[in-house]
Amino acid sequence: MSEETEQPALSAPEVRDYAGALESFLAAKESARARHDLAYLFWECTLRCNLECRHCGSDCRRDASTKAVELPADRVCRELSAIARRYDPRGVTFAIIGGEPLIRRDIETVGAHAAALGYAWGVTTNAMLLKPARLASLKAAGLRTISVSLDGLEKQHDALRRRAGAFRTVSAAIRRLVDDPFYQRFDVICCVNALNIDSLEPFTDYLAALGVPQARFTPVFSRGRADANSGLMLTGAQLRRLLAFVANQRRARRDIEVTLSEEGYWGPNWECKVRDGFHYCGSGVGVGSILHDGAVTGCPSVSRRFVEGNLSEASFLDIWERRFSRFRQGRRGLAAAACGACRHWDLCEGGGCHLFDPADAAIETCSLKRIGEYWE
Amino acid sequence: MADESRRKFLMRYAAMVVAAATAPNGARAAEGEGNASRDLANNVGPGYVLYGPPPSPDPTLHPWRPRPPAPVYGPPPSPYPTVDPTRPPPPAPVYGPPPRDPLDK
Repeated sequence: MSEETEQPALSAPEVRDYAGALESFLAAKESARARHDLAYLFWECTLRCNLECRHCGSDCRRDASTKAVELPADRVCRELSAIARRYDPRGVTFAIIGGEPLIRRDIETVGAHAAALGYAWGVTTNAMLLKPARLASLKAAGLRTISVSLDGLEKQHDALRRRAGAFRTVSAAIRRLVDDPFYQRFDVICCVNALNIDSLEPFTDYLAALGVPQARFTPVFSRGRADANSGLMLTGAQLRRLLAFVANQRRARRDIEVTLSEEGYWGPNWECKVRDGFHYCGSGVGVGSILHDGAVTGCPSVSRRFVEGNLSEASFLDIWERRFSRFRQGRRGLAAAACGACRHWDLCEGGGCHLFDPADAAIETCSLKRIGEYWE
Repeated sequence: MADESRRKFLMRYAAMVVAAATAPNGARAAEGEGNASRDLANNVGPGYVLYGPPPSPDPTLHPWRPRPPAPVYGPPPSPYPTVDPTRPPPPAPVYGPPPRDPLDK
């Protein structure tokens, strides 16, 4: 882009207003880093899973080898109580994930404790175990929010999950959730990859017909089993199609809310078209996690190299308050070398902490470069 | 980035956002051709509509979405309702105020 071509637009009051909002946004990010008030707490209750999906970005396993080191429910409850004395729990979302969280039978104990303290709590699940009795148990424990993973229509979903019949099982669970909306929020998460990129529209139509209120699309990224050899990574052209699809669905549809996950920084063509807010990674700033073995980090998607401590040595609050400088002040040191001098850094910050230390270093993590829209 | 350099960059960025918003009815985006850098010569005339809101001046008090973004990789959605006049509101929280410190989302 030449300097000459930008001049006409720069003089517009709308441009000045938008630039001013960006300045304010950056100042607010700085303020949030300084305060680092906890707003979202993950508990990765297990790494065990009943599936072994081709695209899984976690380190989950189908065996029980990690069961022995899982935190007991009462330890998590004690941490929740302590956090509730420091932060107003009504302002903290408590999210239980896995592995597959429904593998554990005691998450309702923790959830009920969280609800009694005032947290809004929820789970993310593959829904294979979300049978009527389990749903009733979660409901009784005060579940407020639930995300179900469904990664395309039957052919794509079952292929990605490596389980015939998975699509129908999950669809039945979704129908149960739609029929009994006891929760406050419910959405379906779809990991978009090379296998399902061509069927997003009929898939969204299917979700809308089921009565799903919100669909969240998240492009696959290099983590866990999703590496360059997985055959699942999206090309730049496919990423642009995904962005255009989400933007157009958001503009045109009223029967289901479509959004892109917070994944990545997509620049001026797409930010605010594909989600409600602007790209922002709050990992380690307002988002903290307790991992299955008691390790404490930012969000559960970040590399396990960025663990800040363990509950075996300190409380979550001690770790949260005294450490995390890498997430709050030191992100440039964690990001790819090319990010260091990039002019987009203030807005992008490496696209999100989960993109630091990719599973496959050969994969380009700069979103703008991947879609051919990088400029300086 | 130094303040003046950053200010110029943000002005340029904002110009691209506005230019992208002038694409007629999203047609360019529908074609996957949403390259605003090619649109900067377009006039930013009256009546243009930005696709989305500008970023919140304070992510902790986002006027359009007063709740933290659910981080990547399977978080449940926050239970706090969005404020979007184009869509029916989700159920209101049964207790308490919205989060004191939401991020974006």
